[in-house]
Amino acid sequence: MRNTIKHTLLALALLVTGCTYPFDIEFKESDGRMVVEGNIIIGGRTTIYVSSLNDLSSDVRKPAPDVSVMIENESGTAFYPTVIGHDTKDARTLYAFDMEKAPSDTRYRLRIFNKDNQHNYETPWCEVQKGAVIDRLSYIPEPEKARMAIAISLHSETESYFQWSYEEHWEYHAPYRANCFYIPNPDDGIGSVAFFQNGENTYYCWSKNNSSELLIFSTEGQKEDRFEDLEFHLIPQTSDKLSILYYIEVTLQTLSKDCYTYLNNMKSNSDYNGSLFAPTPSEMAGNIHCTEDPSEQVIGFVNCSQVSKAHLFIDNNVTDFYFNPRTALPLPQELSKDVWQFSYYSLNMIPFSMMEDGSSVQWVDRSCADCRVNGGTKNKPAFWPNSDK
Amino acid sequence: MKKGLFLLSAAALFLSSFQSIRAQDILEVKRVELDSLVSFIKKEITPSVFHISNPQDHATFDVRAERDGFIDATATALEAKGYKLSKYDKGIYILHGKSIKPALPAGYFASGSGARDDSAMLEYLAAQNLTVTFQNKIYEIGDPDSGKTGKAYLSGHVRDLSSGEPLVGVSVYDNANSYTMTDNAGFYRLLLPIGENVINFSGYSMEDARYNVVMHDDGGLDIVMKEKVTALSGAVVSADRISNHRDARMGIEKVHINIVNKIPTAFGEADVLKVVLSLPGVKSVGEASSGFNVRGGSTDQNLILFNDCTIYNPSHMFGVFSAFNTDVINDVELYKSSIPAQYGGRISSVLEIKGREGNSNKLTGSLGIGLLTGRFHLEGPIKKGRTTFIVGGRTTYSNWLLNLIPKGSSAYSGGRAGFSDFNASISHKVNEKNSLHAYAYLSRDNFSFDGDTSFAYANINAALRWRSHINERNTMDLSAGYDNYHSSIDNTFNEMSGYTVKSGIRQGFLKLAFTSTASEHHTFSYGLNNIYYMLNPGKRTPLKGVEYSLVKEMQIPEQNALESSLYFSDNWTVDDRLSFDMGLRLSGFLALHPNKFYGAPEIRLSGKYSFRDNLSVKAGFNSMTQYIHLISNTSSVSPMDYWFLSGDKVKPQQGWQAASGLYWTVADGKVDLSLEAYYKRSSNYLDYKSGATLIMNPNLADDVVGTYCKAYGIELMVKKPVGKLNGWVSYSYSRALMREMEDRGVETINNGQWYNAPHDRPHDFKFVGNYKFTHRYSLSINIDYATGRPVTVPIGQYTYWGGKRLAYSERNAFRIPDYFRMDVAMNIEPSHYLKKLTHLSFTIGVYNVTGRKNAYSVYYTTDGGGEPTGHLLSVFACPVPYVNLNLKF
Repeated sequence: MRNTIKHTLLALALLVTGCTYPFDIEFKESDGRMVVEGNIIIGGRTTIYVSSLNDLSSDVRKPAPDVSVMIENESGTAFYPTVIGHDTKDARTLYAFDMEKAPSDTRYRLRIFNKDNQHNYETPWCEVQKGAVIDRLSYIPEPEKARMAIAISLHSETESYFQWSYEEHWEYHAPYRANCFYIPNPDDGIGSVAFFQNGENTYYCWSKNNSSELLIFSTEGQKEDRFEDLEFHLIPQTSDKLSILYYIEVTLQTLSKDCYTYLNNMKSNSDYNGSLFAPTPSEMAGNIHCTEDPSEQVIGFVNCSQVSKAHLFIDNNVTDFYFNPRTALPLPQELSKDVWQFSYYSLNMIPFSMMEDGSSVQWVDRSCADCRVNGGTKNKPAFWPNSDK
Repeated sequence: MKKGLFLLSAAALFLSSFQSIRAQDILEVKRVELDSLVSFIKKEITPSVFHISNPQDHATFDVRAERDGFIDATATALEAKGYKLSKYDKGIYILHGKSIKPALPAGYFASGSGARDDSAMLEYLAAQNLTVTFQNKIYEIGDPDSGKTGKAYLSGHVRDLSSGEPLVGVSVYDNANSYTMTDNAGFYRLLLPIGENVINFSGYSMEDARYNVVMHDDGGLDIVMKEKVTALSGAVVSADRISNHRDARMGIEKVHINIVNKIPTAFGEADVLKVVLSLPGVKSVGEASSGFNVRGGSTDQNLILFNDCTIYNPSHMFGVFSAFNTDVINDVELYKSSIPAQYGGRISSVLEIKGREGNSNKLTGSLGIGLLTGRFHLEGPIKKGRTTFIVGGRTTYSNWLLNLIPKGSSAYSGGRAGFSDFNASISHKVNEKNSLHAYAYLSRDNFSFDGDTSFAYANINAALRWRSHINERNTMDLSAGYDNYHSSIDNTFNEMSGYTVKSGIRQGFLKLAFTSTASEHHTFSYGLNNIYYMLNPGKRTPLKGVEYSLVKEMQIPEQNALESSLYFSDNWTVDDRLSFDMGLRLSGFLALHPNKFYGAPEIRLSGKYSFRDNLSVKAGFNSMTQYIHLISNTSSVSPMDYWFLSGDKVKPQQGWQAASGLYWTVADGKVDLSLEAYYKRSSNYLDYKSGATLIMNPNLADDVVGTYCKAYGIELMVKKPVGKLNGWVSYSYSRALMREMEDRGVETINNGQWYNAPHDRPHDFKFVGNYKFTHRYSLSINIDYATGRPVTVPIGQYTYWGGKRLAYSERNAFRIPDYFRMDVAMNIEPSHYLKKLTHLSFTIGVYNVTGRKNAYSVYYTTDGGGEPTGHLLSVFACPVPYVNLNLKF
């Protein structure tokens, strides 16, 4: 009987959410169509990325098309990239424009010439969307869900469609603070241990991350073009982001309705969960058109707007919200000199504590005393407000 | 050319081999059953032929002889199958196993019996131990001195012996070519020749009955039939065999509720729709999906009628259960090809669900408990013999079960899912010719997948019907009612921006239908239907209790329209071989504010030719118009879908279907074979544009595109309705394709090419079987195999705004893995002690016994911008055992 109830509960639960299993499909090679990402930012820096559509089942990235990119406005002013860079990880080419002084009372468009196929591409003229105001960035501790929510409040006088992205930085530390470090010696196989000088350490690290989710919102259907405390980023209470000091900076743009619809469809397609009531995916045409061949498909929608920014610090000394999930750590052990090199390279251990006279050196697993193991670096952001090194 | 000649010759040879030959002095019949043989003798040699045959015996006979020797040849042929032909006085008597005694027994006069005696016959009848001996009585209809010649009408009601309830869908036929079926009130009307006749009654799970009737004039004969207690050799669906060869219409599937109750389903709840899905030509996009697709049609192209009311959402719990309580249902009839002219408004099919009227003799009822649901029903007389009632209700305790999952211990613990439904009906017999009926139906659902969004929907239906048998030849049905379907979505992701959206459709209807038997060859049906639609496309309001909500209240203007139609159809029986069903329906639709009128004639035509009693071909053509559309961008019907009326921007859907079929009853009448083929076309079916917004979109008509649809297929079915092992096996090959009607350049769906409809599943195999071990124990097995449905999968990935995104190309170009499922159930019927107050029945079963992880969908996701991963979503990914108890009292 118990099994019957168990099966019934399971089946009922499946009805509510379904049950998913990994699955792979034999895909055809993608057609490598051009992908154009970025918005024309008036009064700031415009960044346009150009790449090719990659195969789904392969990690090999198709090379970005060889293109030239320009922005022009109806007043006859042309803007050319001030920086051209390459993102080798995602095989994208970056075109950065300085549009700090670009006027907002005219219309703009993006033009691309593809040297590979000798095709020209352009967007329609687009009006500059007025900016929106970020009223507040706030954090909302949610202990019952064991997470910290980051929320945004904003308003606009004229616009109803919004997109924002964020960049986050955080400081964290390793479990143990080491007072020394190992200097390998490849010649004799016996290295040495030296004390950190001038506050140097592998205890404090800084890490950063950019938003990967498409963050869009519409106030269509609301009395006012504003919203309050919309939670857009959730940080687990056990995340080391919250352990010392956390910083988030949000960049907000307003969108045209067509751009919002396009991005919303892109979001729906990419986050599709296959469930009973999920809209089935379908591709929308963007606003970049090939003048020689109108049937050629290009991915991307270039919007034209102003931006606003806001930032927020979360100090664990103030919130006291962080929960350290570590329950036990490996104990340090004293190693004789003859195994230092072996332990350093093969056992992934580092020295952690050395007596002042150098007579005894305690070693621990690297992850216990070197914060860089967890993905961070010693590159402290220039704006970081505390004195940790 | 040679091939053509060969085919022509083969067809001629094929046809000629099944003809009865009437050469100048040679009479010949081939492979006819006893009833037909007797009819033939009555027609050709002498009308004084009497016979009693076993209804379960479907032996066939071949007789060829000169006219003078035909009776003797018949006697020889009969003897080979265990029958005896005896001549007595001027009559010819055919009995099974026994001959009557033409001479008086020895010592007869000494016994003191009367001078004229049928003792030989009575002796035979007594030996047969017939339980319904009055079937052997000869009923005289009309005044013997009326002097009427030709034909006369016999009419009456067919009722259940124990409950007094009208029996719907009972086949009534003579041994020649008269055939009819009882209507919703159990009423039949049959045209019979003046003189002696044998009329037969075949109903689902009822003992077949036959009556000897001598017609002198028009008259009435009410019949009672008793439930087949010993279903071991019962003709569970014997009526199918009759309708296959007597009815000109095709593509009609009828399922009695007794069959529904035996077919295994998820969680053991008897389910009307799941049985419909087990019929050939009926598909769905997957398990736990609302709605069904008939012969390539979409889900909104099915008219679902429950006691004259239109049901817009026939499912509970997003498709896991049907919205119909089987305790109050009599049977289900699906018209997938020949749709009678009285029905319209949908271009694919009509599913008619007929409720029961209730026991007119005593108060009875039932209680049922399943793993997720509880149900009850009560029925009985309010005024014995005149007024009956039946009420039923169901609810689920799924929320109670979900609450057993500890909070936070599982992703499922936040889920909610509940439903309930309620039925009530009252039938009142005003007098012998008039009756009144009132129906009410209410169902509601609510559920949520996560904490942010919750859904609810409800059906509310009520109807009144007046039936009148105007005279022996004419019947009238007048019904009026109200249908209401509404749904709502609560979005609570953010208190100030959260909202509730409600939408729905209400309609009032008036239907007037006449049936008139005009002559021996023609039965007319005519009438009119009116529907007034009041459609709420959407109303948004702030969440309840939120004082400072940012949400602006908004009401998309209501759509109103009047749909009217007139119809006329003629069932023309040319002779016992050839018959036609011809209908014309004129429908008109007036959309209001702004006014726009559409109208269209619709043709309903089907014909049947029987080569023999057991071999018939049929062909038909239907054209249909549909003025209401369901707009959806999900695979399954959901509360987020919206009904939409035709208007100035959206044209009505129009479609036609041509079909033909071959029906062959073999194995001495125990097995029915059917092969049907069809081709369908339709236009103006609405598909969504990429990126379409359906919720609260005042310009919804701009976000949809009209499409052409075409569907074609063949359906092969082998049905064995009788015997210890009964059920059916079917295979169908079919395609359903769509193409956008307009050229929108680069945005045209699939570049304007044909693409797979979401329910296009070419290969489909179904098996529904029941094996009776004893009178009380039976085993049911259900097997379902189908090609995987089409889905849209990505063609590539790219980086955009910091995360990985997926690019899609052609719609529905990929197929999910094939579907296979087997269910097993053991049914334990109650004992048949009549004096027992309660009868308990059990069903124990396992749904998806092989535990196959059938895919509902296959999809790729980046889950917020991460690396794309492929997933297979399975709804019932493990065997689901169940127990269902039903207590009848």
